[in-house]
Amino acid sequence: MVGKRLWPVLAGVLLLAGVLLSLGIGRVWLNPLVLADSVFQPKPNLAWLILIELRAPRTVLGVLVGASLGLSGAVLQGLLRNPLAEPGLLGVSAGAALGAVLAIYFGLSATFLLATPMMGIAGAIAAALLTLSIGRGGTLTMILAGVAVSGLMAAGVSLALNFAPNLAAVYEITIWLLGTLENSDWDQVLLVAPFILLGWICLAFSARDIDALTLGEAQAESLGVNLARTRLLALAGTALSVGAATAVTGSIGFIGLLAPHIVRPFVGHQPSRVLLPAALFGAILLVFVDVATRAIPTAGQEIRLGVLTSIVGTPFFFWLVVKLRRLSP
Amino acid sequence: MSRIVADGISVLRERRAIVDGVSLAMEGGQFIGLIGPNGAGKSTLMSVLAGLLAPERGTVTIDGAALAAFDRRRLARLRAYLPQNPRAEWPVSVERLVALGLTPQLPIFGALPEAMQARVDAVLAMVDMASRRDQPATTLSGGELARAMLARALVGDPQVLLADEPLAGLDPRHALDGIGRLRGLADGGKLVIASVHELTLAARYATHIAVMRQGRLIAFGPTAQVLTAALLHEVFEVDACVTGAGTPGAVVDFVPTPAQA
Repeated sequence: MVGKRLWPVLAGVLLLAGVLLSLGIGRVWLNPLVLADSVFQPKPNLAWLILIELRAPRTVLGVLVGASLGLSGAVLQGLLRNPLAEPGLLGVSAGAALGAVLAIYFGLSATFLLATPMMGIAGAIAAALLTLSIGRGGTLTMILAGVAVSGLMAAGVSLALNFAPNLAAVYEITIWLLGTLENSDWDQVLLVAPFILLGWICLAFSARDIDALTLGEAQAESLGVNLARTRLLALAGTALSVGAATAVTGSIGFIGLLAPHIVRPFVGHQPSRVLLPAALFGAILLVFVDVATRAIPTAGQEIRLGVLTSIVGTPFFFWLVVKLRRLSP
Repeated sequence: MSRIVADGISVLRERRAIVDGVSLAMEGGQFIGLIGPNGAGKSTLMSVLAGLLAPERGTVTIDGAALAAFDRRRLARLRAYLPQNPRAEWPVSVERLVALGLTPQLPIFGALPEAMQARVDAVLAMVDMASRRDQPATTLSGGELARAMLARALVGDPQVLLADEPLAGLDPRHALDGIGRLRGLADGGKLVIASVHELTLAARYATHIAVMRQGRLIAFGPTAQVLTAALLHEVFEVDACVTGAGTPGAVVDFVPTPAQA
């Protein structure tokens, strides 16, 4: 077991290792000496360009996306007091996917590269507004509305696949849905970073409220918690951060579910204390899985990020089920 | 000393009145035992008095100010509310659970200040739970959890305490201990309102008794005057034997009526 004081160190080391691996691994090996040499040259060499223009944005995006998934997962599990809550629950991931798929479907992505993430963000926000307008008034109604909105958005994606103009479009949509950090660039980072940071702020402000919810809704309200505001913060924060993340990477499952569970025992289960470590471990998990997609040798395509998180995440999930079974009589 | 005045409050569900035109005035120094059969509207009335449920008709004021217009955090510092069968949703330590009662006093971010930690220690000792401070709250027995929750309610030093069946699940020693503590709060100038089913304990410790039946307030006044066999027969529809209501040796005993026996 890791000591309670030791986990920040461990998280820092793991994240640093993940970032370095992510910067180091790829089709070509970058010689650190060549890189160091480039710093003193007036014109950057190829190794430097690969590092700065390809791998750095991919790594930064991986950290942002993983942290968003972990953080919003922790907030939603605290808000709903349910270990199965995850960012996809409120319909925002499905909304982001639909927006991005429509951009591909109508060929907008071919003419303008940032059309896909922009439409994705718009889709996430639209889905969140729909969830909020139908599901306001209660936590359970919000979950149910989220499930309904997810279903509606998924139907839209299916419809786009159904009526796709050609096989190439079907292929492009399907591949996008599998999720990836490949082809990340600084434009994408700059587009989504403001949304993600704003989302993090919303989520962070719910910390005190989700602590009070440890006592149940009635006592939390009696302690001055405005549950409607808490729900709005959690939904807006998830829509902005996870919506923007999904808009650039496609759907990535399990990270938002698992990261809070991994860290919870080390922080005494207090919901607000889960937030920061869950964000860190979300980032660590995503960066490592992304490194693995590049390290695993394949004949043609890289294995897609969303596929690998599901493959790696499922055993974790089984472990969680077994653990819960042991804890509950 | 706080004064709560309820004026003609009604709560409707599907056109049925759960609470029906209840008016009463309560003030610091009183320990009000709220009694009545199941479904009489006791819990709903407590929610309204706590400001958690807006009544369809009528108003509640605290010290002359309308409850509906109160700032949430200010109200949270003024009164504590304990619902029926409170439970802990996460396995946080007992100490953390109790510290949650200080939520309205805390800044938005940051850890528990040193001075507040002393407050947590004091209430933990008061409810006899200091030795369990590091135990996960989800592993406590029902009675232990009830004591921890009472500590949670008292840690912020509220002027008004509303507790919905705070004695449910307590063993005799801790039930006596708990209700004695509620009376002690009232003697110290606080206003305590608690729904109670243990009528003997209510007869001994409550300064005042409020009686509800089918949403209506049937009687309200000092324990010795209100808690009579005739009233209990009317409200609970069983014959009762009441001796010494309002004194430390009071006993309320129900006896089966000949028809039921």
